[in-house]
Amino acid sequence: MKRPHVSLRVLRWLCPILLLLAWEIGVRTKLFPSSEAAAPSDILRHLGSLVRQGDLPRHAVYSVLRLLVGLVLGTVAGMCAGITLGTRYSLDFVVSPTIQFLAPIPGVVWIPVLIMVFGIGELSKVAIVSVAIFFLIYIHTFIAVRSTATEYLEVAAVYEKRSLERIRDVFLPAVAPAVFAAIRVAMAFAWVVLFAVEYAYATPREGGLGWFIANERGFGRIENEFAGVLVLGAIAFLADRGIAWIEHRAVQWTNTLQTTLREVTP
Amino acid sequence: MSALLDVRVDSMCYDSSTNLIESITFAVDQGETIAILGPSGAGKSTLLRMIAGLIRNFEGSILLNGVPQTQPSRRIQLVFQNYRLFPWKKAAGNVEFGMPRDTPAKDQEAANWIGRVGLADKLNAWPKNLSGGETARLALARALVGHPDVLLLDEPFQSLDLLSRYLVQDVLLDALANAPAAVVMISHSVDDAVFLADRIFLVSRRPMTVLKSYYGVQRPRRRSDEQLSVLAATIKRDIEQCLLRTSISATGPSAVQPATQVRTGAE
Repeated sequence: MKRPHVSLRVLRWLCPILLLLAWEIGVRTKLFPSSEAAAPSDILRHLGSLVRQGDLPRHAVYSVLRLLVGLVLGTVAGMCAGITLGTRYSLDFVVSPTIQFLAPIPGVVWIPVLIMVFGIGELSKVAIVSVAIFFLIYIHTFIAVRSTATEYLEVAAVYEKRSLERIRDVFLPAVAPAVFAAIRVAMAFAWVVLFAVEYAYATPREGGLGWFIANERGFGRIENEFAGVLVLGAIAFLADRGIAWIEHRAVQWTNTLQTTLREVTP
Repeated sequence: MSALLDVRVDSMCYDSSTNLIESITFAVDQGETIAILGPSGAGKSTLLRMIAGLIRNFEGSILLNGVPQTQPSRRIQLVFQNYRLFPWKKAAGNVEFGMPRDTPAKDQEAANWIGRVGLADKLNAWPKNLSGGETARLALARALVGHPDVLLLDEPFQSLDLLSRYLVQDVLLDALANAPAAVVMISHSVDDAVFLADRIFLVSRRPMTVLKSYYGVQRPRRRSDEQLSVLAATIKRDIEQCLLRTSISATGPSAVQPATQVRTGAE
């Protein structure tokens, strides 16, 4: 694959640097009120001390673990439901209206319901992330099964492939590109609900980033709050890159939009 | 003694109003090739899908060695119109998919078949990186690797240039010489049909039924054989007489139809 031109790569780094610079100047010149925004240089200094104390890394680890477990559970459940309902018309007829009714409900609305079912412990936090992810993965998988996989299902039929072989050789690879796209979108939703549930229901010891950011803001420690936001952004960025890396290896056979765009545009 | 494949379709319709297929009966022996020629939308692909066991709501029967076929079977292989290779499997993986689960040394067998269809250097190629002719040959390898009794070909040369078409046909004939099967092929090309088939059926549209049948010329054949040209000319003349004229009279100005529909029909 062709590497982007060196000037593009420099500009790529220049974008966040210029943003940080403008931010720093904005705070130093009192353009932004110091009660609402901290200068990046101060944030980095505080970030260093928070990392040394071990507070921020601990909260970050809790959030990442909740997100990871919720992501895996939500993705597996969404794919199973999408493949099952996508291939069984009678089941789809019975269950789909209920799912279509539940799907548009915002993730945060599920928080009290799931806390009522699972309690205030870790289980409810993971369940909330899973539910937020589940519907997106389900819808994308269902559409992929109906639009792509059924064509190949006939091929599997004439070769007398059994259910497990059909799932391994036809359904999973056929829905993989749609699922990866859905995971990347779902991650953004997952962060929102995780932040909300940590903010509202976590304890100081196992709070997670949501609790940490909200707590620091409550005490007026703006530099610490922004340090938490910076870590959250960095984790979200790394998670997205990680998923993109896995996607690139798992579905090598696709002509990704990125590759096509690179070939047809300057 | 019954033939390897016996096809009898009394009637088949998607809705209750008109029959799509009506009274089609033929038998195919091992090593024999049948070609079906006819207009688009006649139901030729539907007939192949019925033989393959993918469509079951019709009046009639499909017998393989005298045994009724009620569901898809690996003994009857279908090469789909657009080949339907799995884009997520490399060439070797696609051919391996055509083998039964308990086949020993699948990778060697796949490499052997890929070599046989002249794609030895494409063993690890993704289908998206293959040309039209290479895709067709790979689809043939996938269909033949399991040594089926019946091979169904749904317009296998449709999108190929002349050279690729000849190459794929030669690969097919070579493969069938080593592993004879009963072949039913759909084609829009009279020349392809007379070169490959032992019997040719010219079929009508709505309902699809056999208008004329022809016996192929003696084998072995060369594309330049005079007899092939004579047979092709006969079939083309019959197409003109039986299909083209009825089709024009059905949609032409003399037909009792609104003018707008005439234009649509002519297109």
